[in-house]
Amino acid sequence: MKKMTKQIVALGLTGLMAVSGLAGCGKAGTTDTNAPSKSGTTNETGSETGSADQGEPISLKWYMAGSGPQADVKTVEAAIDQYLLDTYEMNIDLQIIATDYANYPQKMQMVISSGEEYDICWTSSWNNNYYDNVNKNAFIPLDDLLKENAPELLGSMETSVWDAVKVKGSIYGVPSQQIFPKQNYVVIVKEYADKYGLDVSKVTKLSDLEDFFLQVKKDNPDIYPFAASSNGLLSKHTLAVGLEPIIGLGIPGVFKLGDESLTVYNQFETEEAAQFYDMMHRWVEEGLVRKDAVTVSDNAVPDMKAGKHIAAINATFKPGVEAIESANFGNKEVVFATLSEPYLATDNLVSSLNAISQTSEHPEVAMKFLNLVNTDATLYNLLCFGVEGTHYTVNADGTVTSDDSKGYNPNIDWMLGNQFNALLREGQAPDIWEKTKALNGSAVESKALGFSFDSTPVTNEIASVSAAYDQYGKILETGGADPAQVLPEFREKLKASGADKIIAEMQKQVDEWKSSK
Amino acid sequence: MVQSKQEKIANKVITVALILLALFCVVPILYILSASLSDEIALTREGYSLIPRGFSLEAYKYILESPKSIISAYGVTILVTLAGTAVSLIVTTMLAYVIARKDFRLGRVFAFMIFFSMLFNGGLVPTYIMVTKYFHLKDSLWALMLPYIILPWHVFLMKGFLSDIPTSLIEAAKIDGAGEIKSFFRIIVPISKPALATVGLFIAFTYWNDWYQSMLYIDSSNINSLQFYLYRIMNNIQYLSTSMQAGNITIDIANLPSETARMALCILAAGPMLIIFPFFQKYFVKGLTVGAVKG
Amino acid sequence: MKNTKLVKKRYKMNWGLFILSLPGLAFLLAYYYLPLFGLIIPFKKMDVEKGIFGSEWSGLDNFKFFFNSPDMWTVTRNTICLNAVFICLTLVLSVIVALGLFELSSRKVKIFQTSLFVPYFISWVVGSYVIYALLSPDMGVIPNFMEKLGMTVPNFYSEPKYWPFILTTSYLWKHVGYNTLIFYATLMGMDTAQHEAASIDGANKLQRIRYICMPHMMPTIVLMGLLMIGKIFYSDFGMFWFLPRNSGILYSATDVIDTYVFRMLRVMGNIGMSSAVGLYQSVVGFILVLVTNLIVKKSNKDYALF
Repeated sequence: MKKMTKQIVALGLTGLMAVSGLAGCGKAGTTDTNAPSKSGTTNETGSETGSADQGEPISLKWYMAGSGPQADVKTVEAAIDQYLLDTYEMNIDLQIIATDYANYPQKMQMVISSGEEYDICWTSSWNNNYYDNVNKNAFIPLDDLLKENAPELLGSMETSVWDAVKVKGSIYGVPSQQIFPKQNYVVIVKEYADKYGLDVSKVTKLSDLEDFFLQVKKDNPDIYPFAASSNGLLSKHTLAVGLEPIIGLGIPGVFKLGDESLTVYNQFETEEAAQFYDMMHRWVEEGLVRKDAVTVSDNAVPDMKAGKHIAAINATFKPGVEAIESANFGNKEVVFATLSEPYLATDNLVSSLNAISQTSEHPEVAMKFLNLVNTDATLYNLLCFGVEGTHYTVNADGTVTSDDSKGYNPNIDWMLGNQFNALLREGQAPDIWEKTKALNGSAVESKALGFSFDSTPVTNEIASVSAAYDQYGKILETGGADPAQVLPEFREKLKASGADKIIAEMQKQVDEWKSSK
Repeated sequence: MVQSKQEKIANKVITVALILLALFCVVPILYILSASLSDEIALTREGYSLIPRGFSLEAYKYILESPKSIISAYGVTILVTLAGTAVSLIVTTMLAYVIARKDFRLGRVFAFMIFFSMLFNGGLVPTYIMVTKYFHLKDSLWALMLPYIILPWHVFLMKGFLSDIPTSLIEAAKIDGAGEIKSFFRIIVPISKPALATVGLFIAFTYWNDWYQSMLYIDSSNINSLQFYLYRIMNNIQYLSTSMQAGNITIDIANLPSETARMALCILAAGPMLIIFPFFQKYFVKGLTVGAVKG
Repeated sequence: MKNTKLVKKRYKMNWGLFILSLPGLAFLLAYYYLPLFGLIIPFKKMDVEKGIFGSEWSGLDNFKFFFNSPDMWTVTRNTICLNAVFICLTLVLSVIVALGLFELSSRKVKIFQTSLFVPYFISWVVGSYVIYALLSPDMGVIPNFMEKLGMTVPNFYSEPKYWPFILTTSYLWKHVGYNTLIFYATLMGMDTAQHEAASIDGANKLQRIRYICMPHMMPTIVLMGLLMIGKIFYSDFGMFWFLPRNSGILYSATDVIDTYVFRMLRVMGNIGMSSAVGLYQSVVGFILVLVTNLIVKKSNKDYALF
């Protein structure tokens, strides 16, 4: 009963808030996105929203993924509410609802389809699908909201970035700024590279490592030098073989790198993929890769830690990756060889977005809040790390240490907002964000950057090929099946599932997009 | 009863066969127990065995390091299980008794209705809408408790047991002048103890093993159930190691709980129910119904 | 005269019983019948702005993806065949174990029952680690054992032919304890006097089982069978999803409707499409039970579900 009264009051108030919200608070941020404008934001219209302190705060509900709800989230929410009230005279009641990655898509499907009221949700191309939600009309277009309520946020990223997240001409989500381009690489435990005289600077493609791996295997029969797991290998290696998937590796449809004509190919019919499958199968037979790699969970990290593997590939080379990979290999020293240029495609920009719900009662406030999350470092770090002293400690060099036992350690900076405002974690180099920005700036842009595929005409075919890829793709990528026998079967299955129709539809849309540009 | 030699041999054979079957059921959990007590690196290197690889309590230490979540999860699960089972058992038994009564006019209609609901449901979204928008149960313990008060499966199971009650017994109660409700509580419930114990146990297990309702309806971290706590960790890791993530995002898998910690969680989640089990067993007594008729 | 009285008695409304059923019916209504409006979701093109009722009708569009897919027959076959095997073996084995337990002293029964119930508390995710520990070609207990015996060791995770057996064993491992308890409890409700009389008459164990225990358990066996048949188009998702550990090569033997649809919709989640398959599973299961129930009703009215 109490809850209901509260809801009614909240409902009445939201109307009021929406009106006063339109008048705008926090309009007066500086255009410099990196300097959090703590003092300069007491705004002209402050008195209007200021009256909100006496009233009921506007509640903002934010759904996000991660490892699950944090035990002490209430403290963090309260700290954020207080900070927003003190600094921006924004009287909101933030509710963070965190679910784990595995259940997030399902939970969001319930929340969205049931028409539940909420304000912001995290969405992406790989979890809680952005395009599907836009097709369902789950989000509202943000173009005008951004211009009116979040000019700093709008200015913080290049137009090409905003263009890339557009669907049918409108922006439906705010990308979280972070490392954008992909650059495929291979990582090798240094001890072995040194012992067998491997010069990593000469390694330009994966096959260059075969002799080295064979030598390692000869002396250490218990080691499977090259790590592979149920996550497959090719999705981490597409650029290195010269392909750019349009929706994702599992769905037929790629461009070839450097192809000006933007012809769409079925990747599973290409020579590039076939060669990769052949090599992996050979490596399994030579004992360089586990024959049951496709059943290995946890991305083979426990095996890497235990010293069963000495090399692995990954999709994105980025500043700070040394620490991560070294931890994966049980804190051994590692060396790297990049296998492609840093490359930027549409998919990299829809990998983490925050969208405003169709059911939000006060989208302007939500937009303003997102603006601050992305531009105010203090607010952002409250979200990422919690309250200083309670949830994390600052070390002498300015880096922070946090752990799960303190009750708040979501570890999802890249999901929440502009990662360049994040405090440095222990072990991260001070120039990590500068370097990342430089890498973002230096990336080779895809010719199709900004093109997004509308899958509605081929939904049924996409469902069928997704299942076919799961059945054959990963086992071929990890060498567990003989391509001579299985690849034709796979191609057959794809044909029967309507791969050609998908390719034709993609080509059609690409051509239309090209001519409209 | 005097046992013949033949019967003694038969008993031995049965015992041996059951021992084998029991081992078949128990050995896997011994592997899990042993894994939870193993050293992580040694476990990955050498694989599972019945004797822990390089004995280590690290996994349990890791879980109990921040006991807040797990203690509150235990609390929630125990509370929901106790209260839910009590209410569900009464409501289920009443409904089951009604459809078990062959002389009740609407018995078959009700049975069909229950069966129909077992197969057809509107799907998750409408249920979600009802629970959140109309029942206003989101983020409350009620959301965990109410969905399982009536499960068609339990009703039919109970009906199966109650159908055994001899009609003469009900007739006798009627002659005594007791109304249906009175005779249900005074006569039917006391003589159906084995049935109540069995179905009650199943209901308790349903509550104990449930994670799904928590996933859908609970947003606050302090009302998560134990199974959801476990399930979340297990499935998250499984998801992250099989789903294709966008390439430029790296989710730090190295920081997630190790395999040994996951096994330890499994032991902690299953343990209490196995201890409770024998308590229910004292109600499995032969021939209660008949004794009541005679008495 | 007597006859009409009996009929009257049967058709007179028994309000006492009706009241007893009310709380249960209320929950049934709230959690099962009110949400039934969702049955229109498969026929709608979901639009959040317009809501479920306001969304456009889409005819049978949401059904097409499944019925046109090349694997529809394989997964339907796997679902039915595996489930049929599960149902039969679970019933047979549980009845046998229950009869066995019935013959033993109660102390032994306690230990056995508890052991048989252990697997019921192991989720399939954890179960998949155990099966992997037993079967993995590298360090698996069984392959290592076979190697010691000098046998050629198959790679279980790449040969579909072993999987119907592995899945069945796993299913029984998890469910036999549960079902045994049901039958054991049924036997508990049996008239012991009957047993003693039979034993005095010189009936041996097998005869007693055949002429006293079995007839007593029959209604429960039929009931369980019927209920299980209703769910024959559904499957234990966790088991089929986690045990084969993504080894695609096994899918020809392990893929069932639930897992297949889950994989199809993993990339582009679509509530209409998943509800469409759910409806299909329900309708087929429903028809199957109606038919079986009719057959059962013909042979013995009391055994029928409704």
